[in-house]
Amino acid sequence: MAICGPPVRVLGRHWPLPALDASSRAEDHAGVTRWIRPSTEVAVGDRYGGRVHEPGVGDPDSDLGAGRGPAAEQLVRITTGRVVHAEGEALVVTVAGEIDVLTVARLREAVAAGFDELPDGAALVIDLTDVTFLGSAGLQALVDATRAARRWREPVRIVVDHTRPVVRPIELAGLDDVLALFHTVDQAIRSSS
Amino acid sequence: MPPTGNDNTLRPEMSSSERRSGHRATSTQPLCLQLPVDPIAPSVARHRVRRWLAASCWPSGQLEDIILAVSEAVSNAIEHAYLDGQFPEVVALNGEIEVAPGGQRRVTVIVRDHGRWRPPPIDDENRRRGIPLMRACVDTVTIGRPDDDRAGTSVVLRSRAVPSADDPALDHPRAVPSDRGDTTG
Repeated sequence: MAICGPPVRVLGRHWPLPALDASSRAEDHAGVTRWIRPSTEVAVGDRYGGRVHEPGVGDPDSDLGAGRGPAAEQLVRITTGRVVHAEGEALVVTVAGEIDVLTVARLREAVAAGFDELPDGAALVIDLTDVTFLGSAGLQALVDATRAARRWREPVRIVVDHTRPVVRPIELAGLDDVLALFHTVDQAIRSSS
Repeated sequence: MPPTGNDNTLRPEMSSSERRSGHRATSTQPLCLQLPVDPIAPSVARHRVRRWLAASCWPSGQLEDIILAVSEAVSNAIEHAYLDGQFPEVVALNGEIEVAPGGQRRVTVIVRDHGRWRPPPIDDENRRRGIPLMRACVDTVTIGRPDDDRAGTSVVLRSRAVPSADDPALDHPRAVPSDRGDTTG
């Protein structure tokens, strides 16, 4: 997108990611080993100190005042974890929140970083299960990731569950045939075999 | 709903007390927003339009579609402004609910920027994607410009008709703003 505002303050640690080590290793009840980076949250939206500047509206008397404006909702959280299955390995980029012109750069950065450090033979999985809004900027990022993956012969798989805010725009844009969509992360990983 | 022509007019939407007092079903209160020319504007618009329509018991599927269309329109509007390099002060959003004699309702949202008119892009895939998305989400999308070339571009979104707020078929007393766990049909 050509839209670029003043620098957005970024909370927490972000890219490049810390190296994986033994302390980030965990096994879940199914015996699946996961490496989770604890500090990869990226939050956007406090540029106005928790308030959105809406001329004439964002005054203290309005119900947008006192930090209750939509800025608090305007968050995207992205974490990246490595998942190892008996049937395959994947780097999973998990996205929660809203993907629009403001936040799409975070998704693009996370996907690019994922490609950079993708282990040989592993899949890149983008898990959108907890995404609550997906606009055309986000759709374009997914299309670009899919194209990049094709170019590099590395599969990128997108997990959409059944959530309407994600599935609906993908279908309306006719991208359900373009993107590799899966209902669960496990399905996405297993499809490699 | 014709554009008011006065971008500085700001009518407050219904307060929560007004909603409690029972005016929500008709929701004759229009929505008037002045959005900052900033990438945060689409999220502000989504938030406000969601609250406005939820207060009118808009069916949740239609509500989500309208919000998607509005978000795309506002995204385009701020991009206009940036491309112009003029950083005009605001993007205006006006929403109005019309009720047909049979009780069916439609919402019309007008998004107006103050950038110079420019034809739909042919080389920007992202923006090419936004307009068809808008058209898929609402009944009609009208993209126009006033006679005055400097007066900006307007996008008029007119939703599909939905039942009256009093219609028993609307068994959701309040359109749920939750985005989670809602399956597509």
